This record gives sequence, structure tokens and C-alpha cells, in this order.
Amino acid sequence: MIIKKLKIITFRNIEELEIDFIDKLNIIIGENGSGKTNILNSIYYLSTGSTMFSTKESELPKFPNSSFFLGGSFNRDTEDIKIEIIFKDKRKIISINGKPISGLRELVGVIPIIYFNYRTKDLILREPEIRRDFLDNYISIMDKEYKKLIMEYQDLLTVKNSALKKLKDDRGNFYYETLLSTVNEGMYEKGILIQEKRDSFINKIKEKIIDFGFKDIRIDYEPKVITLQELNKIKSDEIERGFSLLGPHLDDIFFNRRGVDIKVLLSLGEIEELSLYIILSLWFIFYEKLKTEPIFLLDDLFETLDNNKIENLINLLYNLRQVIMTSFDKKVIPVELIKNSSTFFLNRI
Amino acid sequence: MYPKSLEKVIENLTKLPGIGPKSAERIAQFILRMDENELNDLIESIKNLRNKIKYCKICFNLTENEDICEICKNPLRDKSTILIVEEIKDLIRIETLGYYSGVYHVLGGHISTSGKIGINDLTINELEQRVKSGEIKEVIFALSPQWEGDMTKEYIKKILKKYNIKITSLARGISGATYLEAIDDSSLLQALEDRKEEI
Ligand SMILES: Nc1ncnc2c1ncn2[C@@H]1O[C@H](COP(=O)(O)OP(=O)(O)OP(=O)(O)O)[C@@H](O)[C@H]1O
Ligand SMILES: [Mg+2]
Ligand SMILES: [Zn+2]
Repeated sequence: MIIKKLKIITFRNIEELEIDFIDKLNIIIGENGSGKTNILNSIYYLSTGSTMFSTKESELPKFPNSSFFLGGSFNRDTEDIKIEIIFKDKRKIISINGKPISGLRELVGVIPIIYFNYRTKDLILREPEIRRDFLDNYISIMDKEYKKLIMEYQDLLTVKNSALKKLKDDRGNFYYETLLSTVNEGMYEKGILIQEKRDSFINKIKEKIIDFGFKDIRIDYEPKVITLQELNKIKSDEIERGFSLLGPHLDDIFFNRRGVDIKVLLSLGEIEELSLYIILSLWFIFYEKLKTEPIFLLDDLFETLDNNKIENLINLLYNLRQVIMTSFDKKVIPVELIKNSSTFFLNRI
Repeated sequence: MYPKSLEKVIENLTKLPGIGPKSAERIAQFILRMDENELNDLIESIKNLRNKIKYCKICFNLTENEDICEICKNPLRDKSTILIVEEIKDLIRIETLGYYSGVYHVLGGHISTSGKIGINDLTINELEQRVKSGEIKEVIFALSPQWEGDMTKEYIKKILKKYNIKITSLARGISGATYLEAIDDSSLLQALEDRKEEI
């Protein structure tokens, strides 16, 4: 899969822009604030229909506009795919080859994409919610059923929490007790499937990370496994607290070396590097599952890793189908890389 | 600024679905110039709508002028079998088949996951009262074949468990169809005939 052409109108700080990309390496060069990250974000948004880092869609149109347009021409083998997003009146319309889609699920698996940027390390450094979002976003890129399960599970969770709050004020109410047990059964059924899928996804990442040479790093999935017995046991606790205490919405991933959290073991650069390779492992997982090479968006690589680490990485990058990377200064990019890529210069607007 | 009473009409009109401030202004201007008799007619018919059209006290179908709907009143309908639907349009859909001879119960939706429709917004208590009365032998679920419909069904099944009645469900196999509307006549008929007992 490659993106051949990107068209942007009044998105973030970009008034109007059209870029042609090549197979292999593309480098976007521009000073701080020129819009490099915004361009990568727009490609990610086109491919998934969702913003990165839960940016509000109302913040996407270039101030003071209230609408924007994004268009991408993609190519897979011999097939051309055109994706367009029009945002207007606080609503977005996404179309594939000119046909509006009725739900984001239709976009699943169409444009596989992976994205590394300055927030990726949060996956290791920050709270569990970020790791769950990582799992949900990326498994959803390749698995329609997972996306559906997650959405339904989230809905059930809302119903469950409202039932728990009702029961807190009205202990033993037969109707809410019944609703709670109905919802618990649904969450149990879906929860197991979600956790199975997460487990197999994390196992694949693990294998790949070992292949990459991180021999002593362990990535342990820590699921909050639901069983109906356990749910019964904690019922009064849940009612007391007014929210659900068990299930995949509380899962976590533990990155460690021999049981010690790598947050406290590795340097920031090392954490950046590991998180970059975690993203790279997804390239292979998607490729295996979807039989097409994901597009790799790589923000600020040269500002993040030292030369040694970059050296190690470059050969891998040459082997990927398409990489779109950024830098604020041409001088920091290895000459050889510039020679083998297509470069764009952004002027500050 | 318009005079107060004109503003008031505009404000009220914008509450109607599909009517924005501009249309409301135009309609209000029009009403102002309307023929007296025509206007009274309009007001009367809207009032009547609310006074005369009611929900059936038994099954929550629509009725005109009466507390009980045509179906519930009909002595030829089998009062011991209740078909449970989400919306009145589902009831109408099944009636057009001309096959089903029992009565209905309209829930008013399914348990909504966005938290907008809770169990108290549906007519589940009224359904339970009907079953409790003891005349009911079978209830048939014909809810939307999505998981929200399923969850609502599972919930109601639990509520009705203590009453000794047969609980059945429209046969699936109507795959792909999201609402009763989307199912063709013969498949719907088949699904009704092949209804399965719930465990
Ligand atoms: N909705 C918006 N309307 C106008 N400008 C915006 C909007 N959203 C963000 N910006 C501007 O876009 C610029 C940021 O662009 P971006 O993050 O893409 O820069 P960058 O080239 O990646 O910079 P850096 O080298 O620092 O990473 C900021 O100056 C920000 O104020
Ligand atoms: Mg940037
Ligand atoms: Zn009736």
C-alpha cells in the first residue's frame, strides 16, 4: 500500500497543499511549526477516520475556518483507492472511491498504516489507558470484528455503570439486578473475545521485538480476566463504588526486564528506540494479516535517536514499501538517505 | 426584534424537527396572514391529534378515540399469545402479512447503550403485568436482530422467567437484515412460523 497523492485544504495550519509521494522514502523538511506533524496526522486521519492523541475534530479546521478537506490517492498492487474526508457543520463525511461510508468500520483494513511520533513513547511511560488505546487503535486497523466488539463492549459498560449507580441508591431492586446480570453476561462474552485478540496481538509483537534484538525485554499482557463467578464475588463492591471493576477496560501491558519496570531501567533514548521498534513490529503483523505493506509515518526520527541507532534502523527502512518521514533540518539527515529519497521543503506559513 | 407574541411563535416552531430559525420565521409570517377559518382548522386538527390519538392501554399500539386498540378489541384475536416488538412500525409490518392472529406488545425501543433509554423508558413493567394476569401462554420476541435487541430480549426473559409461559423468538436466518423493515415478506413469514423456543 502506498499513498501517491495527498491534498489538504484548510487543515490545521495548512491553507492548501498538494504533495506527490514516491514508493520508498519521502522526507518532509521544514522548521518548527511549519506543519510537518500536521501532514502526517492528516495521512493517519485519512487512513483510519480517527485522530491521533484524541484531538477534537473541531480543532482540525485551520483557524478561523470551520471546515476542511483531505483527499488521498492510494495504490495497492494494481488497485487505486481514493479516500476523501469533508468536515463541515461539525460533521465529517468519509468516502471511499467517491462513495460515502456509513460507519468507520468500513475503513478497517483498507489502508494499513503505522505511525511513530513524539507521543509513541507514552505507550511505555504513561498510564494504562494509553496502552489500551494503542491496542484498540491498531488491532482495529486490521480486524473489523475487534472494532465492533470494542464499540459494543464500551456501550455495555455504560449501561452497567448506570445500573450500578441505580443499585447503590436502591439496593436489591429486582429490575436493576436483572439488568446488571444481563449486561454482565454480555460483557463476559465479549470481554473474553477482546482479551483473546489482544493476547495474540501482543504475542506477535513480542516475537518480533525479540527478532529485532531486544532479547531481554519482556512485554507481558496483564488482562483483567472476567469470569461470571468473579463478577458475582465483587458485585457488592462494584455497587458500592458505582462502577465496573473487572474486564478488558482495565487491562494493561507491563514492559519489563526480569520483572523490573523498564521505565526505571532504560534511558529516554532507549525507551524511544524500543517504542519505535514496537511500532515497526506492527508493520510485519499487518503485512502478514492484510497481505499489503503498511504505510510508515515516521516523525522527527533524527531529533529522537543518536546516529548509531539511526544507522541500525536505516537498512530496515529501505526494505519497507513506503516511509514518510520528517525533519526540521536537512543537515541532520544522512546524505545517503537524502540521495535515495524524495524531499519536500515546507515554508512556514 | 419582532413583537413578543410573534417571537414566541417562532421560538415554538423551531422546536419542531427539521425547522430552523429561517423557516420558523417564514411560517410565522404566513400564519399571521392566514385566513381565519383555515387557521382555526389547523389549530383544531393539531389539538385533535393529541386528544384523539392515544396509545392503547394494553399493548401501546396507536388508537383513535379509544383507550384500547382495534387489535386488542378484536374478539377473534388470540389473547394468550403476545408478540413483542420494539416500535409500532414493526407491528404494522407484521400485520401486513395477515398471518399472525395473536396480540402485540410495543416496547418503545430497546435498551439503549448510549444511556438514553433505560429499562424504565420501555413498557416492560406493563408487559410483566399482562403476563402476571395469567391469561398469557406464549410470548414471541420479534426484536431487532442486533445485539441491543438481543440484550433487551435477554433482560425481559429474565424478568418473565418466574411466570410459567412459553417464550419463543423469531427464527434467525434473516441474516444481514438489521431491522424488521429490511426483511422481505416471505422470510419474515418463515421466521414467524419457524420460531424457536428460548431456553
Ligand atoms: N486549527 C489550527 N489552525 C491554525 N493553525 C494551527 C491549527 N492547529 C495547529 N496549528 C498550528 O500548526 C503548527 C504546528 O504544526 P506542526 O506540529 O505540524 O509543526 P511541525 O512542523 O511538526 O513542527 P515541529 O518541528 O516543532 O515538530 C503550530 O504553529 C500550531 O499553532
Ligand atoms: Mg512536529
Ligand atoms: Zn392494543
